Amino acid sequence: MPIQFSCFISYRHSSVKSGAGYVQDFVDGFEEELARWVNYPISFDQRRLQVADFIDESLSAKMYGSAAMVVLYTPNYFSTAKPFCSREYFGMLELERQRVQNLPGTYQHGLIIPIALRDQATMVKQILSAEQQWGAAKQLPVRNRLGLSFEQFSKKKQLQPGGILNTQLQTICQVIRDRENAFEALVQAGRDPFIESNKWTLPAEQDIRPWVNGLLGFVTTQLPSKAA
Amino acid sequence: MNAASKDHGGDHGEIITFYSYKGGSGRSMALANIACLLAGMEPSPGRKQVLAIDWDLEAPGLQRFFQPYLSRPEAEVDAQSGLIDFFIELAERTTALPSSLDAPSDTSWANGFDFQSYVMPTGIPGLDLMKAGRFGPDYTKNITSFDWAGLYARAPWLFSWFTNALTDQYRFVLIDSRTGETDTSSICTSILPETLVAVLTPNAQAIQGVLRQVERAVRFRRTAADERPIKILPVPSRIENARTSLRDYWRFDSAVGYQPKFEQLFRDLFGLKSCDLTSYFAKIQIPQSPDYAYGEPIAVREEATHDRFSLSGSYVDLQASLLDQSEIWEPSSESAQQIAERAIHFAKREAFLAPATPSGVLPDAREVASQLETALSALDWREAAAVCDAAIDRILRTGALLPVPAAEQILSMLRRARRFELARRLGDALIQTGESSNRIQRAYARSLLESGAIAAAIPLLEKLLEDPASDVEASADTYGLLGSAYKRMYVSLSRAPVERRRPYLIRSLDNYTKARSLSTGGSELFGINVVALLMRAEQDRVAVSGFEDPRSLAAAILDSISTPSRKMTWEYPIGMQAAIALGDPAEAARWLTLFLGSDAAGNPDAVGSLLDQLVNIWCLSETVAPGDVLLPALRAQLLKLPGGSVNFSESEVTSVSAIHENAVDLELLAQGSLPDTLAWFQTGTLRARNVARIENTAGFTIGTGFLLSVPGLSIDPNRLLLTAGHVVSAEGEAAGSSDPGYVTVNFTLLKWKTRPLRVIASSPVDQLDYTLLELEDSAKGVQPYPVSAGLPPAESGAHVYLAGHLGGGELKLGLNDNRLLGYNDRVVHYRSATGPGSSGSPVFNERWKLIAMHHASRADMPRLFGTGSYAANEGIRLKPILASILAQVSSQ
Repeated sequence: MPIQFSCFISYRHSSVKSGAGYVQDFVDGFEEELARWVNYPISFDQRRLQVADFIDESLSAKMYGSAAMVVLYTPNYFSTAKPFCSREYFGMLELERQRVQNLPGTYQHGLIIPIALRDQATMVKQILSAEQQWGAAKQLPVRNRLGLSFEQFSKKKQLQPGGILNTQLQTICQVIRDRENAFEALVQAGRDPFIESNKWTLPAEQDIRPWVNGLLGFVTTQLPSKAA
Repeated sequence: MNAASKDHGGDHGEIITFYSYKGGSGRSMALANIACLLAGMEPSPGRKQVLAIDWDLEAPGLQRFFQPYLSRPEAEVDAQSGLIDFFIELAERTTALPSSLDAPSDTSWANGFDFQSYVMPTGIPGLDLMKAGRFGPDYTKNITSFDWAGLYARAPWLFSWFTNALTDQYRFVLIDSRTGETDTSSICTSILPETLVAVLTPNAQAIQGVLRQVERAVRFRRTAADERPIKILPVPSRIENARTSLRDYWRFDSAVGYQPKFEQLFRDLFGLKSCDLTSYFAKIQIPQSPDYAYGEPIAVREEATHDRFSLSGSYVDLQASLLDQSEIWEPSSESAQQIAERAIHFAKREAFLAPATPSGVLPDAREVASQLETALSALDWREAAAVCDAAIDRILRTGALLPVPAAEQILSMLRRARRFELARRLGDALIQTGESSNRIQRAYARSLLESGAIAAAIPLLEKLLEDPASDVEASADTYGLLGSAYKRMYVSLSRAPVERRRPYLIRSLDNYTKARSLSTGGSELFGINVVALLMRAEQDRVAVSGFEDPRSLAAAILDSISTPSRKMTWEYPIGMQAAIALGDPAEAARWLTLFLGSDAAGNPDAVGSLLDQLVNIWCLSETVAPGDVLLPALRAQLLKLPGGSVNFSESEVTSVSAIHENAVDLELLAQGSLPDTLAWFQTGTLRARNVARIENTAGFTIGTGFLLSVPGLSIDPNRLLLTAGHVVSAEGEAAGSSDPGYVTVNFTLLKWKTRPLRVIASSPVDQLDYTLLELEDSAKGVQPYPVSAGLPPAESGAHVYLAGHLGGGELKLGLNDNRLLGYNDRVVHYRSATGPGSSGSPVFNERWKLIAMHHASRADMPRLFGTGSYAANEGIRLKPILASILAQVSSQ
């Protein structure tokens, strides 16, 4: 099966229900901009916006068919209690390991694009910590991830052309387009990296445990008045 | 558009917190009026309209605004349970659950929980109220014993659950937050709201307090598991329309005005290039109205029309801003008139008077002292200021007197940390509430002197001399303080004609002499000040008569304190000064050594005051003996102490103290003689200012870069950044580095970020591995690096120093163990603990001249000469880089 999606959006709703609309606005704005750059749609499961925890295993096929994965990070992304996002993250790391080596050039930013909706500093620490441990086990260097901070996001129109966050968004779109083009070239050359979608599944919870335990140590439970 | 809540985030209500730093700001009144206006809007189906919550638990009173509309008697209203009772039940129901960041999947803990039993109707259609709690004998115990921080630490998800419960049931939830900077005010302002209405009265304390809370709320929310953006509405309140000049001063003044302060804060917090709040503040101001100065009438229900100049009109404008989807620095998407038309006009009611609001709680002095100690020892001046401000607020609100020993302890802690301004403000609050003890008044006078308010200190001290309760030592101390006050006046008038300065000198000498004659234990301290002033008078050629000869006096003082049986720590500075007077630098250095080895050297105030005295009274200079030894030694000592800061005469190095205050971790690892260490340290600090952390757009640190002046290149050197080619290059990902368009250049010590504009010259990783970037903007307040022409012999064991970002963290100067191993024409090898994150760091020689750019660290670095490998760092020498740059630029 050839490429299906330009990117898969990995996201876990936060604990405040009324934040969902803002995330929907963000995804809408992102999708609108990305459509100007790429040939394939995005894969985003609307059910993730609701405060209900689940994982639909059929999503793994969608992830497998995506050229890249965008992480919409909030501080409970790597939750150990609800590890489905972590499973997606490490699943994509594995796909990235298999796929990037077949691409010409380094593609050192890799196939995962982290976008911080909240707490960029913890995102950087958690991703570095997770990837360092994973990289050590797989004997891979840590990638220089390209991503964005949208901590200051508040309005949909910021993402629209001319909006203050649109320029930053374009850098992401460009990276996704590069990956999409590179994979299309591979497919054309008869080396389809998306061919075994029926064989691939997300890593099981126990397989990723070694790398996500301890990540939540970065999250604070102090009241703002107590924090520095 | 119906409401903010409809346009974003789907079908949910919105929480709006009203906060003011101090009481008496009109905050609760604004909330009551806005609540009525919002309740009068067209109802939305499936949801109640407005809930007002009284979270000012220590001074509850929101229910008083609604009392006239209630059909229930006051006693029954008092018995109605509210917020604190709600949270007590919540805490009890969840106490057995394991502590967790996430809500438990099993929600049975909430079974049968009746939210509405904590809420009462107000009699105003569409408006419910959650009181602070049931007002009974247990109320005070309930609010003081409830552990908010503990609940949050155990179950942070409960606050999200509460947010969801509120926004599920109500379209608008208005929270009346408590004042100050406390656990509950931070819950109200940072955790719960989607909009924060920051009410401020025009005075410095209220403005500063509100700015701090707003900043804290926005910063907290950027890191919270909550995607709702937070909207900030600053609301100036109790604005006196009759006093135009004062009104404009507090709004526009560049130093104190709230408008420039909020514009600056919003630029910082939201990354705005520009922010203009002129049209916002022209509209949003709540006037002071004598008609509403008594009792709790609700203007929007009292006034038949809401014109621009009425109190109710200003609330209608505020309501419009609340509902407006635009940011407040953007043009409004809906006119105030449109929204005003939607607001329902209420029938007029008679005004009424209500009893005075309950008073606040007494400040707990021990708690204040302990919080302050924590903040001061962490060098967290903001927190120290917050603790003091909260204490001052409580002292002023309650009029409560602190126990004298506790007040003295707090003032002395502040003084020790050289937080004189805080000590002065706290002292002021104590005096205002009627503190009359001689000790506190003296401590206050001292804080006035040390914060520069000399003219205010003198009458206070003179009045204290008449205090019949004053004993001899207290009087001696007071005379000494007066001596110090006049001494400061004499010194600060150093450019005035002698006739104007002389009286202050005489008064200072007179007071110190009186202090000396009265004091039994500390006469030498006052005596040495007499010596210092007389010597200074000689130097200034100001004639004084009737005093002892300063040198004889100095000799006598030295004699008396040199008795072996009595060597007290506080006498070392006296001995030092006596030796200076006698022209004996060696003796002065001996006292210095004693001082540095004593406990006093660990007290920033003791070291700082001595430095002040040596610089300002004795006029010592670092270039002449004995200042060449005493000053650098004391400055280095001060820098090493927590909270120490040094003011240098050269303006370009004043940053040393600023850097220290910001607690940037500058590791002073190299040891040497004290004066050299300090001068060297200052230069290293200057070098570090030109160093930038290179971050990618996701915030990952990918390397380091530094400003480079290229002789022969006609581009502003403050826009030229050199970094390693494997960190940034035009080829970007294809060359295994980052595209210049994806990086931010963060000068951490300058607190300034910019981005690359273009690549000027570069060399591949396997050659000179560099990229020279032109930046979008020019760096300010930096000096170009001097470049060293050669290197010392490799076998000399010379050291080299790196300024870079170790481990991607804050800027750290790693100064130890950088031994020069060898070099050729292209590279230099050295050994240090530098981590892999510092590619692109400048490498300096021992005299802080630039020699290379760091680009690699390897455990198996091939040796430059001979065979085999060793653990080493490699830098590309600057000479070939400069030659390559010029060659590329000239061929372009």
